[in-house]
Amino acid sequence: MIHAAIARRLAGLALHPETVVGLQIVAQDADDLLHHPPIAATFALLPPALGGSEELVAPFRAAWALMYAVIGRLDSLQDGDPLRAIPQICSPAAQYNLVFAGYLLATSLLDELAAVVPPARLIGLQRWWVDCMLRMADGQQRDLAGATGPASFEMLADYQQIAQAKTGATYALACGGLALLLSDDLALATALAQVGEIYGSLVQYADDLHDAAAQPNATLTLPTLLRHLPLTPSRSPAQVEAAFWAYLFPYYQQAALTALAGYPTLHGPISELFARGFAAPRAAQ
Amino acid sequence: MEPLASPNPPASAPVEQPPGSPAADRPAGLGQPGRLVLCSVVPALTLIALQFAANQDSLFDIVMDSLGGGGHRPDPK
Repeated sequence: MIHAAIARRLAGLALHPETVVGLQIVAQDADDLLHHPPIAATFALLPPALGGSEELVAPFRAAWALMYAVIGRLDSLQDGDPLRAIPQICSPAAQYNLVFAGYLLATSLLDELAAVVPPARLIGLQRWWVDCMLRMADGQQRDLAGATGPASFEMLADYQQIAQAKTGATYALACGGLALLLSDDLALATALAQVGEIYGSLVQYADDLHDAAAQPNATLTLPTLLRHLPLTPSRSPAQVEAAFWAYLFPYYQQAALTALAGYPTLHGPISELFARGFAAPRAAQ
Repeated sequence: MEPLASPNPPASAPVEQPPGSPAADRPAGLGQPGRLVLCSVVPALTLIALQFAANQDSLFDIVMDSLGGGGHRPDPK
């Protein structure tokens, strides 16, 4: 899907084949991301709940997914994590440049909306996009600056702020952006942006709980901080993490529904969003 | 155990703009960053974690409920 949108956008541009191949591989990353449960659930449930047609939603979904793929690639480059190899682009500097090109391409995919969306609505969406991306970059900046001193329970507040700013803002863009795209109701957009921020924060927590062992350079993750909770030491870390998730999840879901108090018809789809997005329990294994 | 202070306000919390400031002078309509507010309803992770730790006796019940798909539903009040 995203491949086709990118091919249309790049048609006629005199780009070096290596650059095009690199962008196509990043587009494949984006297509794969659309099958990731939290993302798949977002774009499966929110557009119909808001009455959005595929013609309106498709360009935004493609732009958001490509953006998510490139910032994921940026994060992996910065953390030294493995990523899908691009044989033609080997050096770190060239990889960073591909991320830059990929981000430009992602934002450009929004241009397709100009034919089907009123200009004022599109401008509002673009502004919201940049605001959220600035928050995401701010969270990443804090994350990269790193925590000073040994990990402690008190760092949980810092961790939350970073998670909200990074992944929270990215999902706030998805949910609030869909509302801005499909409606002129700013109160609805505000509420769904809050839902997205809550949902995205949970995505970050869940990923940290699930992937901690695979993060070679993790500095401030939820499992690390949960080890400093005043709990009986006989509990295994995996049991504590699973139990904490089970305890935390209803709070966040209820907060999302509270944000949508004025929109009771959305409570069903949002409950379904949380259920589908986090269907696999973070089991104590 | 000493009580833990509430978490700091999120760094990303919206900042009030005084009248006459450049941000306050932006035209009304879509596109003004102050209209879509974030961070005001996300529950504080620190406080939830403390509540969780205080209720650790029910830890295994919670885990088993979670793994069984039922999900524990603590009263957030």
